[in-house]
Amino acid sequence: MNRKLVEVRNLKKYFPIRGGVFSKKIGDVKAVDDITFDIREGEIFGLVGESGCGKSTTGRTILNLCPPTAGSVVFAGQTIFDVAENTYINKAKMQKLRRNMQIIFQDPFASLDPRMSVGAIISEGLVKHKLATRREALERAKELLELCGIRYDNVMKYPHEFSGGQRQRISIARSLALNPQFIIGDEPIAALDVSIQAQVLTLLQDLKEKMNLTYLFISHDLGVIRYFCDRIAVMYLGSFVEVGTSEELFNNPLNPYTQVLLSAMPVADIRDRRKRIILQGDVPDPANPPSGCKFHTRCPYAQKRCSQDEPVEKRISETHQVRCHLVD
Amino acid sequence: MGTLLRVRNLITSFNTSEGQVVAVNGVDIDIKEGRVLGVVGESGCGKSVTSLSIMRLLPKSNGIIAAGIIEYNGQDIVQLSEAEMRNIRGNEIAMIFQEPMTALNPVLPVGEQIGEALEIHQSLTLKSRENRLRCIELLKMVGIPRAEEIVDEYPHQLSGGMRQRVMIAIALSCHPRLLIADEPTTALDVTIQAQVLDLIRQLKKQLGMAIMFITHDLGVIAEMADDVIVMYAGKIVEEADTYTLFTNPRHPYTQGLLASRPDKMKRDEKLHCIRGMVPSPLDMPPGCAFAPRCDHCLPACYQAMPRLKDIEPNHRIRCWLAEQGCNN
Repeated sequence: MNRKLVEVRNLKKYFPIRGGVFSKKIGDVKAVDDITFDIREGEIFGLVGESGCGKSTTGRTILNLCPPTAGSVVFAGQTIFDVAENTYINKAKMQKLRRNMQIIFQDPFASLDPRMSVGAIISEGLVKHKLATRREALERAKELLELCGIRYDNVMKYPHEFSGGQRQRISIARSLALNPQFIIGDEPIAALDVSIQAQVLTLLQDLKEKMNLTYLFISHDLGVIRYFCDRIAVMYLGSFVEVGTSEELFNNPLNPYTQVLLSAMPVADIRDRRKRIILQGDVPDPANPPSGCKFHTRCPYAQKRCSQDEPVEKRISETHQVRCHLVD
Repeated sequence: MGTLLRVRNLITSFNTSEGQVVAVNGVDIDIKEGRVLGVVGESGCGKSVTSLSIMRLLPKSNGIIAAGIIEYNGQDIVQLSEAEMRNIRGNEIAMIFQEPMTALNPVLPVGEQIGEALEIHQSLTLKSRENRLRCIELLKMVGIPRAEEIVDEYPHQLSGGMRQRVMIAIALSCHPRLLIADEPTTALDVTIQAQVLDLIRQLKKQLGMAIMFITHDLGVIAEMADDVIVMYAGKIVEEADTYTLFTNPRHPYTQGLLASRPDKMKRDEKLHCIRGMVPSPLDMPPGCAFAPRCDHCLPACYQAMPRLKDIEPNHRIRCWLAEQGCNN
């Protein structure tokens, strides 16, 4: 097995809720609530869940883009933070590390500066990290554009001259500029049309092979996650309810929430009009999550103890773990 | 069963600063009483503009129905005055929009927004007792818990799924015979999407209205529609009953769309990509609009637009391959 590239231990990220006259802290939104996982080199690790389940916050906290509440993250042997030990990486080292870890955002209309040319956008990192002169960086930007399927002579154009799919290609080119090892894709294809989604997904696959990348792929689309990711974690209200390889999770989903998600997924196949498990109600407020198993309020199989005890993680196999009282 | 809506050769265009854009170019639609017609296509294909034309809700400043007839119940509604149209809109034909947040008025309680339609079309005075009771009844019908309280709440107090239920309650308040649903579940999470789709299906059974269901998601179409039309660049390219369309798609664009979804793909298979992108409506290629992206292109494809041709009963495609009797 390849070596571990990202090691996340007991990661928590709470956002304080403030209220009252003096903006006193009156509670926490537990966006990420005690998650542990590893990503190995060359792997595509998927995070799936509904909006507000904490998947984006997980990504941002790993990249040290927002301060953690608890837990530790180690990247390629280098500790980024360990709250219990009170160790935090210093700024200079973090900056160096950032070359190796990049992120692609969901909305290609919001994530590219409208006043910068495509060349400037892609080469900004190279210039900032003093890895190339402006002229060299621009040449590199042209290569990267070609690599991402956009003709190099577009390098002086501005983002508004491109379609959504092309802009996402530009975002990808930007994320590759510093030769990173690790890329987080935060819903990178959610805003695109179906035919363009397939193009961008294929591009990400090709780039992974060519450049030896490791991905953390965040998505709400189970069809895409199943196909694209090697291992998948299903999140609900800040916790992992089930982790497994794509095959394990989709052929043998054990947590009722995973089963519900799979059954809710519309499949473009008329011969597959399945009987669905329809959930009642909405996702509970993460500021005030239910006791015991957080899913018990909506779970079709909930029993008494589900509302009392938090389920512990059960190992089904080396790669397959689940949190549910009903799994023995 | 009778034909409820009959659209012939609808051409809708917009005057823009860059010239006239023909968004819908010669569309024919038949919706029979009690049937669900799915309309599928990528952004910019004209599916929403078709529905706005039927509702006569095009932006007054620049949108025009340039030609064609829209016959509702035997009456051409293109010719109706605004006052006559108001009698039909919301009463006979109702619509649900994609964004439940922007479609609802944020400063009015939801009860008033449902009651408004009842006042206009069913002369139940707003804020009267009967009106209020009817609103509560409608909220209950769309599965909203605590309907007696929710009726006085504002849209921001509700979740996305609940707002969409309110939208559906407004749309169904006057028992329309035709419901136009424009991407009603696109903004929702999968589990909530499954709830709302299930609700629409149940209400259809209960109330027996016809539905025009617009979406980009082939999975949702497979789930909901009886018949499907596939649109590309303002024209219908394929039309069939849902079973035929999914089991025997014949237009290269439909085939490409179906193959772009990774739902049924093995993990080591490559996704099929439709190359390139949708042409700009200001710069349509001569001949078939799909030709530059098509894998089965013939010389004829670049010269003239093919007709929508019957290839078997209830199955029509717009493709030179069919015209020339080739089997693809």
